[in-house]
Amino acid sequence: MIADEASLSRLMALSRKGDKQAYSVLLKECSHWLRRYFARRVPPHQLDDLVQETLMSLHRKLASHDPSRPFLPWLAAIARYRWVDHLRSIYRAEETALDHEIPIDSDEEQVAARLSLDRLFASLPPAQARVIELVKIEGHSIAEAAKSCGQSEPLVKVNIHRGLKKLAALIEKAE
Amino acid sequence: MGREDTDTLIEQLAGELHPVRAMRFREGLGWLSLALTVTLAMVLVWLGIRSDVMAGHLSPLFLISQGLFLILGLAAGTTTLVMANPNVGNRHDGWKWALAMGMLLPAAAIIIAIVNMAHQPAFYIPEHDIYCLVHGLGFGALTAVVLTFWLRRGAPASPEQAGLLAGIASGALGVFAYAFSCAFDSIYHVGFWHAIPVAIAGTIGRLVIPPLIRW
Repeated sequence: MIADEASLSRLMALSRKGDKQAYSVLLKECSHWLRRYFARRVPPHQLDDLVQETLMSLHRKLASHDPSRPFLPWLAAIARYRWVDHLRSIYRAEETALDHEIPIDSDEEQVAARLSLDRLFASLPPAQARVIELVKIEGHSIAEAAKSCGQSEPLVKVNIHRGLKKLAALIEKAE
Repeated sequence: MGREDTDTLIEQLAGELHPVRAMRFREGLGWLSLALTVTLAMVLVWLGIRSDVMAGHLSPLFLISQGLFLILGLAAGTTTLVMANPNVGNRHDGWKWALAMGMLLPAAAIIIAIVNMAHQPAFYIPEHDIYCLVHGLGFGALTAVVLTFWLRRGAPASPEQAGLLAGIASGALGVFAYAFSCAFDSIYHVGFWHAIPVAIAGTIGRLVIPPLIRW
């Protein structure tokens, strides 16, 4: 069970005052939340790296959370930013199987769906989403992606470039 | 790296924790207002206020253009401040309407120039047009520095847009402050030479600020 918005906000308020124990609990809850958040959009062998990078960003940018606003949309914005950055930086991966099995608790389904990476991804034109999924997430080569989706190799590259640019612009907007 | 490493990292980060002062919009607005006030004071001390404004004779063009630059500067500046606090669900579109309003000045200048083309309208008067452009840009520098520092403290999810907006805000507020000493009220001068610094500052902000605020 992952903590809800109210508990996370309380932990964040204590952390802001320097309570190390509350902060440790907050980071643990965030790491669980992030693992599930990224699970279907990152190959398993990259998951821990991405979760840890996001936790470090959260730590460096703690001051950027406005206490008058909910915690999870802030965490989701940081997670999306790190995810897009991660997509930009990775190339061909060795393992490609994505974990579709991680369940979402019913009481958080609504919030998770609204903040999800899927929602961000769905804002892209299908041709761009498909090639990013094939090359940047599943780890196929440009040639394989071109063959699979019927686009020329230069077009695949252009679509990846444009799609990542658009994802970066939609980090906060797509909900 | 695995889950154990994540637990180790969490303990490490928790050990480094110090009390954190949250970035609140009001504080950012305070810094932006202070930057504008200091910029206005610099204009008054170094260049002085134009004589008709001092005498209380305000031209309609002066009032309208100053209002437009101030609204554009504040709209872009406050949006920049908001962008430092990332949040899924944030919208940053209001500044576009202010920019559209600001574009009325160059649009009016172009239309009037076309209508008066036969009379050879004075688009460029070297002795003061470039002077205004440089001063408008220069007086926006303090605002640019303040907004860049604010963005560096925060976590802008769109560094490129944040840089563009910080540049537009700096240019618009710089021109707003400088215009209190600019004695020229021609629509060509205000429509082109007071608007161009905003466009240049926006371009500089878009190119220079993102690398400084990426996280």
